[in-house]
Amino acid sequence: MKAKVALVLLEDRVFALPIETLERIVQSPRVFQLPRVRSGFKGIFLIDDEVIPCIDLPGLLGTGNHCTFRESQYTLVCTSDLGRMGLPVTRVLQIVDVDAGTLWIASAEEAAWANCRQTFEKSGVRFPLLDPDLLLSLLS
Amino acid sequence: MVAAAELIMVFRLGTLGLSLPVGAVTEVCRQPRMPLAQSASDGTAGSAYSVQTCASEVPLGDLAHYLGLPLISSSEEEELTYIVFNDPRGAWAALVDRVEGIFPASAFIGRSLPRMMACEDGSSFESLDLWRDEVLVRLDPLKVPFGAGQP
Repeated sequence: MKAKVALVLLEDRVFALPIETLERIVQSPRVFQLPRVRSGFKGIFLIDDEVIPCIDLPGLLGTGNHCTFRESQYTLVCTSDLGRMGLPVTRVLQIVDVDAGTLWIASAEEAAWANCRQTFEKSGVRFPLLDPDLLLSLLS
Repeated sequence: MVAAAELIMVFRLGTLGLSLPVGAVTEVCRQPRMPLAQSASDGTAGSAYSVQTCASEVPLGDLAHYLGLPLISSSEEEELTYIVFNDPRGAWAALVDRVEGIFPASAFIGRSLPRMMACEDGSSFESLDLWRDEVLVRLDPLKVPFGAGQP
């Protein structure tokens, strides 16, 4: 099967996510906030009675307004070395073949503002490539 | 008859739902709002005040502060609800917003806090309960670092 990436909108910025890390997409799960957990999490949500951590993606990626989290329409359930996790996004724009674009090593500037190691370029636009394990490494 | 060990109490602090075995509870009391009594303890945070229960006066722990939650939101109610914990260190009480009730353990599904969410200093809650499509934090009063015996 061809490698694919999902292009997702987070507030006003578009990111790419490798499909192989994506397990499912759910619509607006109920998120339960928990006390005394590591920062960088918005809480947890349930899928089939399994507890899934929900990452504060706007906070980690510096997209600005954490308060808009509840406006996220979808949550991407991804796999990581430490288990499943949810990434809330505003919209899922499209899923494209990696062959339809180019993967690049992120420049220092891109790595700094998007916390990414790679970017996916399509039609002359570069989208930061989300890496669930890298996101987890950003948590304090 | 269901043994106490098989019963779970559900209560709330703000929007947070918590659960604990009934065996960890000595008493639930509702009292008219009134100024809290100054405790005879050394005044350390969390036990500077006490509350009069049915049986005795016990130190008042600030559970909401421990959980990092805003102040209790029941400020407009004429009566306040306290849970008195059965703690080997000595009984202590905490102000809560609401006690939902006591339910059989079979109504709960136990889950662990996902590993990636745990604080490195070990201060996170380890256990969660799924109850009526809701996630509750399983409270272990012995892990709360205040109460009688640790004033």
